[in-house]
Amino acid sequence: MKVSVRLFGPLAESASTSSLDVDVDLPTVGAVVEAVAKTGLRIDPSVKFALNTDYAGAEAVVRDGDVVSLIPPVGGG
Amino acid sequence: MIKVTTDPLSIDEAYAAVKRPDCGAVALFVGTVRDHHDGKAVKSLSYSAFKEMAEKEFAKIAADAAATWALGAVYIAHRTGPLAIGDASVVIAVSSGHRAEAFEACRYAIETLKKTAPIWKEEFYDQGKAWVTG
Repeated sequence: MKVSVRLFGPLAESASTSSLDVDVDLPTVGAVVEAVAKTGLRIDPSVKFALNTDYAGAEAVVRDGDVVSLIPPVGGG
Repeated sequence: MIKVTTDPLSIDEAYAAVKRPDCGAVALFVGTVRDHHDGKAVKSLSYSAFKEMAEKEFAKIAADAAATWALGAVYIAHRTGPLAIGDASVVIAVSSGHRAEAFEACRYAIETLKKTAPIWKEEFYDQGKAWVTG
């Protein structure tokens, strides 16, 4: 399954892009993150994940059309 | 009212959004751009956000606050894009019948926003730049 991934802040800077697509066999957030890591992007354990517009764990199930986002440590305020 | 916007923030708008005849208190928090960080002079900074998710987080914060304290209304706005020293980066306003609830809920809102809202701050110094968290 092809999944769209969004990157933000320092991760978008490291990857020189704010979005990419990955192919996964297992439809989970964790599998998507692993696929992103395989592109060479270093994903620190402090990075959180979002499924569409909600925080989600690695076990969360990704459905066709969902977007997975990598949320590096935030700094709003 | 909640929003993530590139437009300058308005304290008047925040106050007007929460002021109510049955509320005797409005607590207002304004976060402003500071000219130094860790001993370094900050020349400018820029905020970026996952706008849709940040606005959803703001809505959750407002709903959680309203479920915890007896409030009139909650206003949360965060600015993104390049900001200058002294600009308001975040404005939170909370109204309630009495001051204790307004202060507590306002404090809760800014502390939670800082931890959960998908917003990133990039500071620019004389030499170099950094992503600043927390």
